[in-house]
Amino acid sequence: MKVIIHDLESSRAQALLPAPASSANANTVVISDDGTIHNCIGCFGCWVKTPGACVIRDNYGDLGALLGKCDDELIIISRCFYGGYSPFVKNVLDRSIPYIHPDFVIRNKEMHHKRRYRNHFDLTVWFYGTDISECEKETALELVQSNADNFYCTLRKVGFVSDISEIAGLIK
Amino acid sequence: MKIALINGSPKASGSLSGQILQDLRERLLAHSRQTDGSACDTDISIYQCNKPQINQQDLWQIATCDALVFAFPLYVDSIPSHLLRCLSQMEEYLRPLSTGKEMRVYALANCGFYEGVQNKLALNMMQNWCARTELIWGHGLGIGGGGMQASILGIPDNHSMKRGLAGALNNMTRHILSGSSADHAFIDPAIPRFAYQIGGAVGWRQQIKANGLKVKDLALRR
Repeated sequence: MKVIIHDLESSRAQALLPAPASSANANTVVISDDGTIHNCIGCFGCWVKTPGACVIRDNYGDLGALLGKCDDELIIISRCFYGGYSPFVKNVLDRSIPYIHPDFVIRNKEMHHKRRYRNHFDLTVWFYGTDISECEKETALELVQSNADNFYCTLRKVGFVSDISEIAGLIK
Repeated sequence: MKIALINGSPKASGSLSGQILQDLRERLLAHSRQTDGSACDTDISIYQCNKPQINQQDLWQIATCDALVFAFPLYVDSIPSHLLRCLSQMEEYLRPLSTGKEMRVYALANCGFYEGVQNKLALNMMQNWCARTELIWGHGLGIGGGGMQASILGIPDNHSMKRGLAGALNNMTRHILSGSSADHAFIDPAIPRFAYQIGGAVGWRQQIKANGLKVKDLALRR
């Protein structure tokens, strides 16, 4: 399964992303902003009350399980905010921590969380924005690598575009 | 000097970020008293940023400050999404007012990982926010071992467990009051990493059992 997380308006998303109904993309799940997402409240309920699932039962409560089924690629398309993701995309990632296990492990001389699932996927991130500074790009590159380390995935690509239409045809 | 302490934890009460800001507030007042004989000229307010929106009254008050001090937990290697929304709102509000104003920004990020340095990217993002908002970056402190730092805050500064944290908070205090800037600083807990790791594992097991579940449920797959 492939997962796409994006913050595009629906008309932009329709133009740039694969049509969800087509049989070629039946195995692709697209996470869009429907305006109802709640922010993570830091309760750790997804680890100790309903392990593997967020206790907030809105439309974004099962992102951990969804990532657990992702065995191809996670594609993130986000406006660049201060060298990171936009609030919606970050909200989705914050709500995805049930994908990992609360216990700690040491990898590459640093503490990380243990993995809950055994799947593996690649990570591709497209940042867009007309005036992304060099400092922001530098932060974003390091951030995506850290995310890849913590989500046990392989970083495939980080791209920066000033206009989102530049990625037309690149998302399959 | 007017200082805004901005708590970026999503928790309404009992957060480590809130406790760090309370501790910092005491240090700021004590340091002001030591240097001026009184702390009358130091006006400190605490603001809660636990929702994805900051109200107009708070924005208006924050805009009048000389220093903004953010404390927040690390979420997925960076700034929690609700605080990101508030920062975006603050950027829109503060940038037009920033010309000629010497407002400095300081940040304290804390994480559950042992290594304080894992907060670096969140602090870099705060620095990038500062540049976008046309404010002056002051200093960032990355605090590791968030799972145990709350219990450390209550003990005396000269205790071996507290010395590192107290020293870092005192440095932050001096930078804020003198309006100076410095590179990020990072602190780890004053216990060995393996002990912290074991402590974390024991804590999660106690919590899941308290919720009526079994230890093996920690690894449930959905």
